[in-house]
Amino acid sequence: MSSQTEDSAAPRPARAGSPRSRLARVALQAALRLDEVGCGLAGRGRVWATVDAGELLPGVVAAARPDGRFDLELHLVAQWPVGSLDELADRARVDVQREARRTGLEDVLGAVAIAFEDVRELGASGEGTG
Amino acid sequence: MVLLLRALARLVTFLLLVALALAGLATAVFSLGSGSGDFSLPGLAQLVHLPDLRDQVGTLLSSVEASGSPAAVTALASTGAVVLALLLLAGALWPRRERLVVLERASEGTLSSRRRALSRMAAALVEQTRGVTAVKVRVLPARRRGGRLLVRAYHSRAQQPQELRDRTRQALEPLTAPLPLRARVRPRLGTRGRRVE
Repeated sequence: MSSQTEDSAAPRPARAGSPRSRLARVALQAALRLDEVGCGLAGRGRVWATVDAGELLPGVVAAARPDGRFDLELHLVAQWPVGSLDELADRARVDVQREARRTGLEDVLGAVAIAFEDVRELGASGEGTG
Repeated sequence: MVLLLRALARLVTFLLLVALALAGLATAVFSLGSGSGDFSLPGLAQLVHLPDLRDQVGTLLSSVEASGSPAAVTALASTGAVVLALLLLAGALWPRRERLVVLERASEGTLSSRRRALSRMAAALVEQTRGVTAVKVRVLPARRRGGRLLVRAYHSRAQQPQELRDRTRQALEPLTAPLPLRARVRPRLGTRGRRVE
């Protein structure tokens, strides 16, 4: 038992994520940089989450396509005040594409679906921001 | 109503499955024995009084064949059983209301939103409307794309309902103009205690 505790307390070696999980991380981080996006939502049973390098990223799912790309689903909580949901989604999509290009993951990026799961006031507690 | 039927269907399904499992278990255990002793399938039939039940059903069927009160009661009970079965089927098969409103489908991806997020946004927009004292919003998703916002805007006696309706529609434009959402606004005279928080 004590050895398990020691293992979990020790710093974990960095694990390289797969292109799928790295793309998920890049996309979530790009979306969360927007002021009107509060956090990602993992959902009931954490079905909308991806593990990258041993870390759980709530609110993003990457699914492989037959052509080798990955379709992304972002499950986000918007932060009030929100101007327009479609503009916000467009901006998030553009940012995700730009970040994917910057990190060399553009070739594996497929469609980006965005679902706004909730709207919260500024300062309200969220379910993990990834 | 549908929620109640769904819960009833689940309960009945669970109870029936438990009964089926118990019956299967009893049959399996009693089939280990052989002959016509207590620990055998004929013994199990005796234990649950199947011969008595057969006699009773036989008596019932012969009385149903004749005209009179038992026939009427049986017909009534059968009709009730059919209605109950139809209600349970409705509870089990009635499609759940979709909680996700699909707002946009494109090759780049879809844009969707939970009903709760849209109703909160709509309520926040309407609450800023002059003359509105409280608001209730329901979101009804369409089958394929978009949906309807049913907005109940409460107001004081000093407000004209038509003007309030126009102002509320205008307040909802950030949602309804760019997205496939239609708003139906119903002004209501506010009661004591209804205030925008």
